[in-house]
Amino acid sequence: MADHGSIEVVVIYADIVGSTKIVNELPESKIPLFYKIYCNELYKIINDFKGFVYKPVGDEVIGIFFIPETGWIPTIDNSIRCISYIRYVTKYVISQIAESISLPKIQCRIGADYGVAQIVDIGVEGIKISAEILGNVMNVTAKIREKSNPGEVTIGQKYYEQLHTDYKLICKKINPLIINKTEYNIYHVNFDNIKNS
Amino acid sequence: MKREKGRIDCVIQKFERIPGSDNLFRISMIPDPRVWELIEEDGKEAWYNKLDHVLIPMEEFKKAVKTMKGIPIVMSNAKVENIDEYLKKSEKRVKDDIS
Repeated sequence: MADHGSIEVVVIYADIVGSTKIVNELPESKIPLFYKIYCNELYKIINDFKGFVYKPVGDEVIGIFFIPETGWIPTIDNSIRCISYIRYVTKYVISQIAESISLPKIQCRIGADYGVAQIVDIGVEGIKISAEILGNVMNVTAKIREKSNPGEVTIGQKYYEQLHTDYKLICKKINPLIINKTEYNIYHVNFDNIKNS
Repeated sequence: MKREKGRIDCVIQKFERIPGSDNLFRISMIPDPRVWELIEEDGKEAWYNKLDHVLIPMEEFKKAVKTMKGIPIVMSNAKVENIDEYLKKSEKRVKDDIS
């Protein structure tokens, strides 16, 4: 297992609420379109904000923003704007187009946090090796995402601390996550209270 | 040694060219007053964060400001349209994608 080192990242997990049930009830012919209409557009949004799409699995889209040592604040700002755009595009574009072609309404839920990740090659000789992004921040962000209701964004304390004041002011602390018997503060971000331009 | 990242957003109060100079500017900034308040604690000045309830004594604040020496002013935000324009672009992309 080759280790490429540690790097600070913002991690975004965005998935479709109730996708398992929706897919079970969809005709097989429509399942690829259901995923495509959501995932493809999210990949493009993340790319537009200089993020990196990491390993799509089903309806789960994971975006990674690598934090440089200098000039890190614009990357943080890009990542939170990216999250707000994902939310708006899902609500006002993807979901409406989906319904117009007889697909179910699509609602996303998003979790995000900031932390240190390790980039490693996992694999064995003779089998294709791919780089993996590992670390507590990946696991914690997945748990944070679970705290989001449809259309909501939930973030961790470490990410909250790095946000611009405009965004901090629209955050509301909710019941903490319990991680290894320790409380970890998380926040809902109410983007409806901010002008996005 | 790797430094911990910290962030205090400031608002610009004054931006002026230094007279007689082509490329020197004087910028006056204060921590964003929506969040930061200058108070007196034990007879000493301190910046108080009303949102996160953090207190930074002025002496420490001055030390932090000095560490900014040599840090470049960067502007590398993604060039992305405002949300209204972006929604239009996105709608076209999605329709093209599924057609």
